[in-house]
Amino acid sequence: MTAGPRWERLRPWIGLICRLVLAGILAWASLAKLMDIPQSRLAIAAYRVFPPEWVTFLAWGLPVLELILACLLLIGLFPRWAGLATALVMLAFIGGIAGVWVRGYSIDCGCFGGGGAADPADDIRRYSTEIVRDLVFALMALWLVRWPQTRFAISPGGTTEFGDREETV
Amino acid sequence: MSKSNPGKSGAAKSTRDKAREARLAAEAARKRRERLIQFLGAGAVLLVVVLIIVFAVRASGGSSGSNGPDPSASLPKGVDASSYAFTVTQNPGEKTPTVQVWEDFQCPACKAFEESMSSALYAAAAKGEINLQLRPTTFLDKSLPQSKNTSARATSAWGCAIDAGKSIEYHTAVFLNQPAVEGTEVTNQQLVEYGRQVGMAEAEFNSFKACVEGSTYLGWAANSTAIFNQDAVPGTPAMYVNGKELSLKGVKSPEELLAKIKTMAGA
Repeated sequence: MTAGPRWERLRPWIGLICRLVLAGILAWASLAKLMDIPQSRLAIAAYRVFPPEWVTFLAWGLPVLELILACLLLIGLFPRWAGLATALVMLAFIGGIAGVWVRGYSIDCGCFGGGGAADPADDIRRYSTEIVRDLVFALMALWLVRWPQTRFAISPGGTTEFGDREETV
Repeated sequence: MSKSNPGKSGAAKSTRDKAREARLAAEAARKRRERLIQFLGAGAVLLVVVLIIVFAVRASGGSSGSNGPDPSASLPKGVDASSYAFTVTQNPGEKTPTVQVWEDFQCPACKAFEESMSSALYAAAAKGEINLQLRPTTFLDKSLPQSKNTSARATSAWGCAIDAGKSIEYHTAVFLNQPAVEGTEVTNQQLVEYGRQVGMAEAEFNSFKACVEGSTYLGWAANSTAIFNQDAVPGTPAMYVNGKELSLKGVKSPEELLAKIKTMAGA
């Protein structure tokens, strides 16, 4: 690493910001879905990827997973795993949106609850903003995978990469 | 410095060993502490997650459980008592392909579909080429609260029109009169007025009016929507030919649609 000490000092703070932003986003997305499970089922069905039985499972499973990740990120537990899982979830969302876009359907992503059919005239703008937004979240999550040591985390994350035991004795 | 020159003397080695042992012990203690934190933290997260889920589902009124169809709801003539679909085709043949169309009266894309495609479907149904079933859903009422349940009330009114013998005419009238801005309320008075527009005779019109104002078929609308949710229909309008979805995307003309139906039914 060629980065200077200033960068080293700044890094845990950037990590903290990533953690808190992602925790907030995930918690919001999760609660919006949990508050209206029938609407989430419709939103998931609109992606036209899953059979009905899966739709019910995902309508519950997705917000529960998001909530677990939000809590882990908030307190800074298993940051590396939480970051990895969050990145994968975001990539799955990007894949889903890109999938409906390519196939030419017009839907509301249902990202924060709501969802279903949407105004086709708005497709390009809506789909591209959603993808860019999820890409930013995915990068923030990957930051935590690369540099899991952050400020105000209850667990150092099981990595010694940037620990204080590398100095010469 | 001290770190250079390894193995210089036995004494130096033993101090270094001691330091190493101490470091290893400290490391082990740190790891134990960390594992404890992880264990407790994971437990706390699980507990919090369960609590939040219980609260969120409670706060939403537990709507997921109370969504099954209510078998006691009254149904318009020609509506199936288990699928809640309205069958347009009279006496369909055994091999006639079943074409089901899911629609919400507030959905702009359904209005476009009604204008461009449906007359061809109605004609095909009249000739007995397809077994056409119309399936109402009211899912937009939830996302358009300002409409004061226009989808459900329009569906109920349509049920009244079915009883009055104006099923297709009224269905079309509601779509053609759909407000330009999605979510604008259509009042019961307007719904009654559409009955006059489609030319009901005076006696029929009077019972139609009473039926609309009495919200007679709101239960049917709710039941059909429950099936819509159960089957995870991906949106409206949606078409199913013999139970398989026919994608309406890119279908440009009624002729193309009928050809697609024929291909799917043949396959």
